[in-house]
Amino acid sequence: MLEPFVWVRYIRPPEEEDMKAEWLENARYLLEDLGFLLSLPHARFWSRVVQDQELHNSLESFLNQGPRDYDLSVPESDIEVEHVVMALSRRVFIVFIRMATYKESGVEQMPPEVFAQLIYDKYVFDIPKLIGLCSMYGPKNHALLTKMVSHIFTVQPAYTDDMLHFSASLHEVFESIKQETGLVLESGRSTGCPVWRKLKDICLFLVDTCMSLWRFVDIYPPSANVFHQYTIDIRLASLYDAVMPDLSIGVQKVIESDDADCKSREEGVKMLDRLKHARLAIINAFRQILFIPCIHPLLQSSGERKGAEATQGEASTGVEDFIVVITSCLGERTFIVDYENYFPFEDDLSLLQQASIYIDATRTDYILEGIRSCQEVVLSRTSSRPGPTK
Amino acid sequence: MWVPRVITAIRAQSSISNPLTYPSKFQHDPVTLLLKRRDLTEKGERVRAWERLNHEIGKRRDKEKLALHLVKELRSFTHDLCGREAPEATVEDACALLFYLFNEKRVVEQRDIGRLRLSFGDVSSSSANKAFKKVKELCASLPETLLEEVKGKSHADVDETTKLKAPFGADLKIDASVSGPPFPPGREDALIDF
Repeated sequence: MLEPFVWVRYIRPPEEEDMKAEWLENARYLLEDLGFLLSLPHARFWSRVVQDQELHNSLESFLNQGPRDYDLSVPESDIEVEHVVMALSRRVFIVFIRMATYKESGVEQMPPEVFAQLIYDKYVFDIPKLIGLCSMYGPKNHALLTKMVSHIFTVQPAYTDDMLHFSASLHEVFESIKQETGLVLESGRSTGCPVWRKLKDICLFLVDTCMSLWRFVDIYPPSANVFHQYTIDIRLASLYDAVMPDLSIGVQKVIESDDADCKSREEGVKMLDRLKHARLAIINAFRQILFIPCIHPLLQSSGERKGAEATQGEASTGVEDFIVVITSCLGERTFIVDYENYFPFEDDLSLLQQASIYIDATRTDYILEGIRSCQEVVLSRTSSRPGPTK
Repeated sequence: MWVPRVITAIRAQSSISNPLTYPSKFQHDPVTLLLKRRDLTEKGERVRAWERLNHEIGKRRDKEKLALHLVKELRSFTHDLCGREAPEATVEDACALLFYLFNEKRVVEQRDIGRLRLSFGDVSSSSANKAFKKVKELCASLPETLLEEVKGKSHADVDETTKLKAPFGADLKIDASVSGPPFPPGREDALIDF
């Protein structure tokens, strides 16, 4: 049996100066303990990983509370705190990398099938953890994470099945964001300005959702197939249209409000920036989720045939899916206009035509007309709105 | 301080997440969640069988000798079952049997056969042979290192000379920094200005 080992949980650095010493002590305990864990030989490391649930709660606390580059406040103001956070961030990541490694040396290893069973049945990894890792470490450790996540999905295919459950949960998250946005904006209607604290929470949640999803798809592109199967692409477009304009306008109102204090204004400006990142994240995630399952295989098989004409049967499923998704999104006008600015539909048509893939002209004309109509409506809507105060 | 993270929300509502790791804000009944996750009635049994088996095997140093012993016991047991029409045995079935052998008596008596068949199912001789083979492979593949009984130490007890001597991944190229501007997924100038 393992001897009891007290794992402390990570909490965010405090804003109050007098809490700093206590936070530093707590964080340093965790830092030392993770160092101890990493110094253990393979067998002892895995015994603890498999049997010590508190270790996972501690690691999980860092994934939950740990900093993201899109957070409104990062601990950059205090060098000491920043150093400890960085050291912790590094050690937590190395622990996860070690837990994704079944062969450390010629002697220290376990069979892949045993490893696969352990990480799945003992919840060493689950989908939220993988999403958290991608969200936190993705921007600066892309190649390493791609290798790690792909390896986990390869050795344990059950995670791919779990992705379907995850997609269902993600859909619920989207719906809750829409609902909460409606409630927050409604609550501020009487005063003309939403309550900043509530608005901030929902915006941060939205930003975290969009950035995490995009980073995960970017790091592990095969996930796009599952997301597409669950129509996450269409749901993303719907989320974009339903909340992005209203939330951005809500934040803008807070910035311009006479009642807002200096801190709220400052945070509001940052939040507008983060919301733009979230919009780009949705556009890019949508693109990946649509392109990888629908278009990419067609271009690949076309390339392999060295220019020979694609048969209608081979191309029909992918093209049909592609056309159906774009057509379904034509009602999401704001999204379509933004998406078209980054990934013009005509470019995709041209790409498919170059690959000798037949598409019904009536349907493409309908989509092009729909896009033009969206552009006109959105343009007239934005031009009739008063401009932001400089 | 609450941090609005999507992984927290997903964990709270998803049946695929570890039911034991929930932030207090989203504390749910772990048992309900556990039961929601896949088919755990059977799976839970298997996991427990593995745990017990690992624990038992962990007490023995000579893995090969133990594997031979297991197969011998299995062969002796399934001899009574040979010739019966039955579904094919799987590794999991064999594990369940091993679990029983180790935890209950280790010597199978005739009166246990009926009870064992409930979990093992009837097996034909060819299926039994397949099961033996699988069990043998399984026992051989059980990594000794995984089964080592570990006595954990608190960090205060660790010998300072060995502590952090050669931590795993010391030379991994990782950028763990979070300060600086966020990393946008592309240019922002083409977005509609609300």
